[in-house]
Amino acid sequence: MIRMHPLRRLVQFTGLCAFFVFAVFPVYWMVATSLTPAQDLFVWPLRYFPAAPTLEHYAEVFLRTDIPRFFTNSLTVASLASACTLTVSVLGGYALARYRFRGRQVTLLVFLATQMMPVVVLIVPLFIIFRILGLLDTLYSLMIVYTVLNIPFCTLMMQGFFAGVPSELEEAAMVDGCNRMGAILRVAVPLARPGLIATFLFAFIGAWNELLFAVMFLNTESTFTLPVGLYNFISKYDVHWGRMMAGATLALLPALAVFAFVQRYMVRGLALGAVKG
Amino acid sequence: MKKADPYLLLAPAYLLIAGFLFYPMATVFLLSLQEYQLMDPLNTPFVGLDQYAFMLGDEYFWRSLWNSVVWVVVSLFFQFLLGFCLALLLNSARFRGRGIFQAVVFAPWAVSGFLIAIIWAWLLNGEFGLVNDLLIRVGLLDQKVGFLSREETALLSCVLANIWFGVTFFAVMLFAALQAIPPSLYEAADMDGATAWQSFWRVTAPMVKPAIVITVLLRAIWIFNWADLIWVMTGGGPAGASRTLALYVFQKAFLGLDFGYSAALGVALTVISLVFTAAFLRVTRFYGDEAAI
Repeated sequence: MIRMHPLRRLVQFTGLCAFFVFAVFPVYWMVATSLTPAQDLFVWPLRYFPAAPTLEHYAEVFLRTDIPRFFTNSLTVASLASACTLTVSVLGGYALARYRFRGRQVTLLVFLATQMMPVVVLIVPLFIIFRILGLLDTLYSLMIVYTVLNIPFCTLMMQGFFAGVPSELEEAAMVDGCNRMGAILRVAVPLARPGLIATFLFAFIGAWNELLFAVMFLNTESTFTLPVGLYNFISKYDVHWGRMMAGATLALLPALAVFAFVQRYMVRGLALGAVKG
Repeated sequence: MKKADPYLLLAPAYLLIAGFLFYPMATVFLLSLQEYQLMDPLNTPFVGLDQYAFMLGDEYFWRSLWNSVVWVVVSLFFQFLLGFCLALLLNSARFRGRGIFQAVVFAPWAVSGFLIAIIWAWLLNGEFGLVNDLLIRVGLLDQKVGFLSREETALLSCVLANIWFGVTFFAVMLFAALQAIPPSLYEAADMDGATAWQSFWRVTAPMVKPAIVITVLLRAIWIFNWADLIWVMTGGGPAGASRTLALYVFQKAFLGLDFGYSAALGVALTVISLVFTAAFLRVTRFYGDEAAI
């Protein structure tokens, strides 16, 4: 390895530090605010570290707001929707990875193109459809929307994972008397398990974070998901920032935990459509 | 292996996508030809192209379109620039804990639109915001500025939050592209006496160009259609100063309850996205093996 010039090392080090601060600081500030007692939030000039950290905002969030319920709602919707997405994507992804059939290219292209569809545009027609189906103001409407929105992307993702699993094992299983479905469930799925988990979590983050459909479809407070609940905090005239940041921290935790797990699959996920699966 | 198998396996995906993506997308075009107020859903007369005629004369439409251009171009420019720098830095640095460092700087990706908006709305708060505090301490400002409530700064504040979020995306994609460059190319350039500058322009740049083009196009479409960040941060205000076309589509439906006009705006948004998508698909084909699916 070539030794680097000390000046270059310095530039490199400074650059990396700058990026680190840039990436972390806003999140730090959110957490710091959530731990700062209310009276200390509004002193000027600001203090950068909570001098006397407190959990009072968290206590308020749990005891005085409906956030625990919103949290449960979000968890329910996101897990069920991503479970449905995963089921559909495993089947579709398998077909795309293992068969060469008429329409395969078109399917890949169309799935890719749906990723570029402007989702906001779907809000109005889906609102009308769900009103006809009588599902407005229920979590079912959101489950359907989140499932469907994630299907194209997750199917492409699963296709990539299955393509990386050798097909000989399935053929062997079928020679031994397994039918195709059995070969998928008993051989291919266990082999592609890391991919399955990654796909599930990608779908989960997407559903966990969605706001606009939720805010449009839900009216009754008991059905609110976490983004809607927090949005209602901020849209009120007097924003209670400490409580707000405590709620935001709670909302971020599951997403970050999931991220820690999927970040090594991120390149593959993000590059879908850009690279061969 | 039966011939129908792949179609059966794909059937659930096809049906759901057809029913809940393509069918609603198609009805948007029909809706845009109607007068459709949410409060009066039984009375939806066909009005032909009236909504579009109104749109062309609607100054808010033109303003939102211009805001969209600023929102996409400025965000994209800095996301790309910073993301590329970060990718180059990560690629050239070897140090212990690089994996963890990488995971941390990539973490903004996990933060959702509404959380980014909440965090940055607090950072940019006009009374007790950290950005005001910092700028005053450094001496760049004499007094506090309400970044989100001033016409000149509202949209740029949203752009700033978007940059924070999007640098990650570029860094991840370009870092992957950089890692894929075979070291032998650099060794060859070195042997031929190339300077660092030359090997960047003659080796690195051409090798990552496909990744750059694709990433930029994907991001452009995505940012163009992204409404929730701005909606939570400024609500498009003050007086439409930070309202983009995507947000206008949403607000016409959510606040205006004017489904017909929202649909017409949505068609405009879709057409622009389609043009982008066509460009995207052309480019991915153009780059052949590396890029095609």
